[in-house]
Amino acid sequence: MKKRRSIGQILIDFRTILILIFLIAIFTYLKPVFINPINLLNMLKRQSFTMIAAFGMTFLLTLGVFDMSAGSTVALVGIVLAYGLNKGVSAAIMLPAVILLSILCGFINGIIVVKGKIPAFLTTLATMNIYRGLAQTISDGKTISIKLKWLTNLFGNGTVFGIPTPVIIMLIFLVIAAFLFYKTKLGFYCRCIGGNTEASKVAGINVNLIQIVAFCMMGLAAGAAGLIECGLMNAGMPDLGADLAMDAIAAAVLGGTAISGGLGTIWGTIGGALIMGILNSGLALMGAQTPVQLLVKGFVIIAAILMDNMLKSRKTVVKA
Amino acid sequence: MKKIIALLLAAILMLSLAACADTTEPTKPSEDPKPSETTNQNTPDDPTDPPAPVTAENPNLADFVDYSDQNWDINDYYVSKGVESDATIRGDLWIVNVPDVFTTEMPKADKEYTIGFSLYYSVDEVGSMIMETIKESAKECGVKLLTNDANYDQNLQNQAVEQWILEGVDGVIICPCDFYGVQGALDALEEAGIPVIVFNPALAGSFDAVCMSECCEQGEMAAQLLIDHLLANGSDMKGVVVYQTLPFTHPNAATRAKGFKDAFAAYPDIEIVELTGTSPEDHYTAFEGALMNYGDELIGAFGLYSSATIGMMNAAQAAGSDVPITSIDNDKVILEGIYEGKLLGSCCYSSTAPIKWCLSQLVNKLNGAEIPNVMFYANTLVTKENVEEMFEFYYNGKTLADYMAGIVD
Repeated sequence: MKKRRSIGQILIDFRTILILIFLIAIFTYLKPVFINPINLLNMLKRQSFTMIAAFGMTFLLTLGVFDMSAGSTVALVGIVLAYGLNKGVSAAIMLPAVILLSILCGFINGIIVVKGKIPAFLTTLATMNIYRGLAQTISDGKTISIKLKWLTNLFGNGTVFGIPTPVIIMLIFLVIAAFLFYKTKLGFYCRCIGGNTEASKVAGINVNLIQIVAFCMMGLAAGAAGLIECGLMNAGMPDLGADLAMDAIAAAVLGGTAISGGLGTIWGTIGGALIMGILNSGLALMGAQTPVQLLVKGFVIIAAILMDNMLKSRKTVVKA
Repeated sequence: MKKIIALLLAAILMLSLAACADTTEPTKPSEDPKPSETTNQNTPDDPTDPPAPVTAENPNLADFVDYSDQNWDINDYYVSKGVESDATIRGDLWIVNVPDVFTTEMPKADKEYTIGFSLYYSVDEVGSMIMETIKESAKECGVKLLTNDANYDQNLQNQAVEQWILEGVDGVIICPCDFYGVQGALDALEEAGIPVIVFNPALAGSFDAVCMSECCEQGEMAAQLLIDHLLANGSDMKGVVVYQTLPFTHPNAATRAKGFKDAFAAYPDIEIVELTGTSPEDHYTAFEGALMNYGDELIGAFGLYSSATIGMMNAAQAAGSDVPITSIDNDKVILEGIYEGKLLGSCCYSSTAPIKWCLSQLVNKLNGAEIPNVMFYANTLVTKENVEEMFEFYYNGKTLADYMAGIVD
């Protein structure tokens, strides 16, 4: 017989949703236009690339590593795409090419971490510079516009039944990420390795392979994020994605993924990214200037994580 | 099972949002594909209203000086300097030079318009002055102002504009974070039929008017100052001149560099060397290297923007070098450097006048007056002779002496 959950337990389980409802209620009260469906869809559109990157980051964080080069991959993918298109290469060639390029960026990160036994932070800090440098070299530091309207609409500015295409792409990634994380051995192994690497090795899990695969997935997610950002900007830009890695890490951690590894949640990540998106959108509507926005976002993130930790410890006590 | 239900619910929610969005959209896209006819003539309250004729005379007419080159084209201008540009200025071109000081009055709004203003960044000296100025000017004009500090994030700037459209603003002024990425915001405004003036050019998308500096002229003025100094000191016009710029192509930087190099084209024995960096520290290090590398061959230097000049000025001082340096920008430290003789001079422009021109002309447009759609704001050469006077002018009556004494920030 299933045990009924207490109110406290329900509060713990639905904490991210409760924070979201609280923020939505506050901003709607202060600025009613916040709840306008167009504003909410715009907010989702602008947050979609962070969400996709955060899905990839969730796998890595669960493994106990992370990728600082995600934003530079975004820039590189965008610049290579725009450069190729401007040189007359067909989109049918360029799109698969940049997707492969993004996976290659992730693969390089993974192989250096695994084979070179260099901590992921240092490795990706280095590749962050390399990928950004490549983007700047190829573009000669210039923004390269993308003239193919259908392409920018496909990834950035278009809609399907009124839903912005970046949101649809994000939802596809959400389904795939959730499936891989919860329903396949890959997700299970990520949690095992992040929880106890040595025990995982003893249990016969190919730790190196899982790490490389997770970095490749991060690369792919960054590539998709790059295509969306290019679509939104109608251009490839060498400085695109500067804050993406930190935003993706913040979204995942805010959603309950442990930065120390072993514990991750795709649903929490999307909640975390939504909290950040709502804060961005709400504060912009309030006309809050940069210092205020930075302060509020910083405090909310700390408060949310503290609350999360408190609730988790309470959950542990309840279970005990 | 629960996850599948959650996903289904999410999909339903998304479709509901989309459905609601379709029916609650506050503004209707213009049906006329010709932007000049849709945006220049619609009244701002409701873009679906019949076009209103130009009824009022522009009250600032006496301050406009018609720009001499009537063949000027924004795209040709930038493309010829190696900068990609595909922008559209709506309507027939009316190009003017505008002064730093209004001799005419700021216009009064016929009714309380709501105007959105998005600035790339407001937490520095220039940004905060721009923000304060437009707030004060909005009160003077009698308009309600919504402001946004985009913190150098084009996505945030585009988001703010989308939100203002939902709030039903009458007009928008954008100081773009990215000259190309701003197209998303401009497209949304065009679709909503809301007039927009850009402060600094947008190089993609379309807009009603732009207020910008002639950056080539800035480079030329800085170069001419250096050339005059070298000639006056008996230089044989041989050697190396370095200039410091950004490591990526910023339209303003590219045009300034072009103006500078063009002015030196008459002196083929002078080699122009480009150094790059983003922070004053980068420029300090690069210039320190140049001083070592070129030694006595280095006959002059140019800081293309404030961080470059500040880095170079300090590097030169640390090395005990007296290489003449010219600059663009009017940060207080730069004006102090001119006064102390560390810099020959700088090509400066007001941080406050251009935004007043943007606001005044947007109000005029909303009042139904014809406005110029390209406004070049004034460049002024500041040297030791006029630096104290110009400090007071650029910083609202504060004096350089007080600044140097630490009495004012």
